[in-house]
Amino acid sequence: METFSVKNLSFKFNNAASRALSDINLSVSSGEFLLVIGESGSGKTTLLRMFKNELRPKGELSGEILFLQKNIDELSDNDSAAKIGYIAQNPDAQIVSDRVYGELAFGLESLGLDNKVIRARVSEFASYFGLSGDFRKKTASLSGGQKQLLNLAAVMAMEPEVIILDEPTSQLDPISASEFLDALRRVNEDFGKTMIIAEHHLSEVFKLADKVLCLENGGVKACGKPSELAAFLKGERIEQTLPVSARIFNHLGLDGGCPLSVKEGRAMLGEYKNNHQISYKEIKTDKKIIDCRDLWFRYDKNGSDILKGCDLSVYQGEFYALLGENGCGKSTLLNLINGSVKQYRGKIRRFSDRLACLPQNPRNLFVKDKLGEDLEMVNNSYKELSDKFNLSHLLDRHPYDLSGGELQRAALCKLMLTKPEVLLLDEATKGLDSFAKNELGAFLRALTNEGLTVLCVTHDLDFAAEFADRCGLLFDGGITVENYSNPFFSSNAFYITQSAKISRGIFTNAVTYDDIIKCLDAGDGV
Amino acid sequence: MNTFRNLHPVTLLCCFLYITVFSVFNFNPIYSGLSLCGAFLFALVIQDKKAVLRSFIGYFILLILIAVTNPLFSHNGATALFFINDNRITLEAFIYGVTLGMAVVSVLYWFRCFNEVFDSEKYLYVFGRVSPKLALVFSMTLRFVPELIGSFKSVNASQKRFDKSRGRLRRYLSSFSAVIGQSLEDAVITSDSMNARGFNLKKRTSFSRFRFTFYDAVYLTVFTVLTAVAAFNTASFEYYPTFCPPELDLRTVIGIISFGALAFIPFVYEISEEIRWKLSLSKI
Repeated sequence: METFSVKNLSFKFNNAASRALSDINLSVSSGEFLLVIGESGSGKTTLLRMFKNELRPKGELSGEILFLQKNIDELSDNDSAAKIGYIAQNPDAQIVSDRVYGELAFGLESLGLDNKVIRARVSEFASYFGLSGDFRKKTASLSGGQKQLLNLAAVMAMEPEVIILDEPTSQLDPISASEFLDALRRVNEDFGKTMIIAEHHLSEVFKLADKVLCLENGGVKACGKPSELAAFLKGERIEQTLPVSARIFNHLGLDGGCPLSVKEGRAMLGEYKNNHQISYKEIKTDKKIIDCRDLWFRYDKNGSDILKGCDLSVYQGEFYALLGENGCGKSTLLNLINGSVKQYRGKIRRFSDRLACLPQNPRNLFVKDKLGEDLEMVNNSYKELSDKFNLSHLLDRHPYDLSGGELQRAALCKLMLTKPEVLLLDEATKGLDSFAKNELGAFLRALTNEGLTVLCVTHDLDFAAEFADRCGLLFDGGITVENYSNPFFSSNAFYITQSAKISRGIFTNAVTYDDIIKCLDAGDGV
Repeated sequence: MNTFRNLHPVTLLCCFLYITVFSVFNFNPIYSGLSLCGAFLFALVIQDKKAVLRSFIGYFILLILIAVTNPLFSHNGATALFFINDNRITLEAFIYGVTLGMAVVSVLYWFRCFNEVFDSEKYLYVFGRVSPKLALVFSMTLRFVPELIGSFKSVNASQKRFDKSRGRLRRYLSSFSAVIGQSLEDAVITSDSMNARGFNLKKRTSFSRFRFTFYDAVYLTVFTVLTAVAAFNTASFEYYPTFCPPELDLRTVIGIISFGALAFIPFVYEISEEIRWKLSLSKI
């Protein structure tokens, strides 16, 4: 049975010049896990919203969408709410209630169920998703990953036929993201719920999918099994978002099934083993710009210590990535260096007082209605810098209307106008797609080449491996591992990038896709 | 330990309502005194003891203030203590003031306990009985306000860097308007999420995790009966022109005992639960 069947669907937003979706034909069978990929602006979100009557944007629609073989417009309000679940990317703003159980019950209350039924359903799904311990807690006390799980549980409690997810893991750290995807896989396998999910970080989710739909400019570019589609996308721009194994497979031009997992990737790469050494830049200067010695910090007098004798030195002109789990104190350390909180023991020496901090939410930097006004507020001669950050065409836009990548560039630009010598970044890559991330990394690299020091707190191992000079792992209140990026990721066992997992023991110090390709190419010559 | 709060919201609400209304409308030093003792002891077991004792000084000053102020304005009464500017300061007016002070302080203490026991979840339940939508609005507010304050703090901190040319007040204002803008943006997502889960459907219910158990029924009955008995057997107390304490006949004694029992039940409940817990521990 088909959950959705889409025939010749086209859609144009009111007042828009061109069509946002054009001529889409698609069939999603019951229990299928469909992954929708495509660059920003390719129409992923618009397509997903077509499936949900309550959220369908206003505009001209042609073609038809059948849900369980009936036209979706004929669906009753009750069924539309209950049978089709929808989860968006922002875990926070989706939550309505102040208590976890209230949130779980929200949809059931809407359906007008009585207390007894709600109690039974809510307790079932709270235990299924491991939320029973948090049942009475305030929703604000949950972590981002738990919040997104709660959103999933709240939708599941309404017992939908299909769950539609719009980039649900983009705001989560990698560990929470893979936990969330694991929960999706379980729901898909245990209950046979149909899943339609749009994502831009594909390394984990790609292998879970039964079918992948690739959109380009509102039309279907390709649709098929993950491994076939990965091979099909060879040479396309979107290829660089695919799992590393698939990219290597395409690079080598092999035939047969395209590998998607680390395991398959290692099997494929094994026969290309060689001794090529990846070289990496060591920092020339020994001029420290920030020097932390024996930092101890706690938030409450009776609380536990967040930092326990933490040492950290950052040298001038380097890009230092500070890694670590959720809640290990990375942001706290950044706040200490920034001076917004104070350690109760230890010493921080700052050899420059020109520090600028990019907050986790870059929106916080903007207070005006136009980007141009916001930049002007700092410095009247902002033109040169805004050109450099490729913002000239955006100056008249409202800061909140910028895309994630544009906003991050604008934030960098605004901070750079204050002429800092040290830039502190808190989770700078959160919510960015691969393209925006690479762009940000390139900008930061260019700035460090001009002498700026960058200290970046991040969860994103690939980003750190690609762009940082040195990495440090914060664990149990101190930096436990610290090294140049290449040896850092190749000597760690678990805390490493996908590429490092695949190439470990096969190539030396290859921690990014580019490193692997270099090794492979060097091997060809031998 | 705080187990009295685990009773059903309706039972709790009735208990507090009965006691406070009764203490206010039956103006009598015996009732006020009982009410004050009950409230004070209850506060002592459910809240931090040091904080309660420290607060007692403030409440005691308030009580004295009321007791002293009353005779300055009211000159009724037969027993004159002394004169200020030809104004009689009478013992009766002073006692009246003390009673008034005790009544006010006891109600304040009961409110203090009520606040401790009756958390946002219970308000939500009561609102939900009235209107499920009202309950939802209340719950959303409870989530929204702390979030708004949090994001104001972080925006304001981020803006400090650009502060050189602007005053602090202007920074606060612009941060505030930015925070409002951000929360409006987020509100769009929230409303999508609500609509996606059927917010616009007709018949909404309100879920609560509270269940009205047998014990709740028993306690509610006990509270109601005690209040009724006390109300039908009130002991009237005349202050002016001179004290006229109620005769201690059977009716009056029953009334006083009923109200005393009512005022001390929360305290006794808490203590007996603690004892039961310790006993059950020793059995393990």
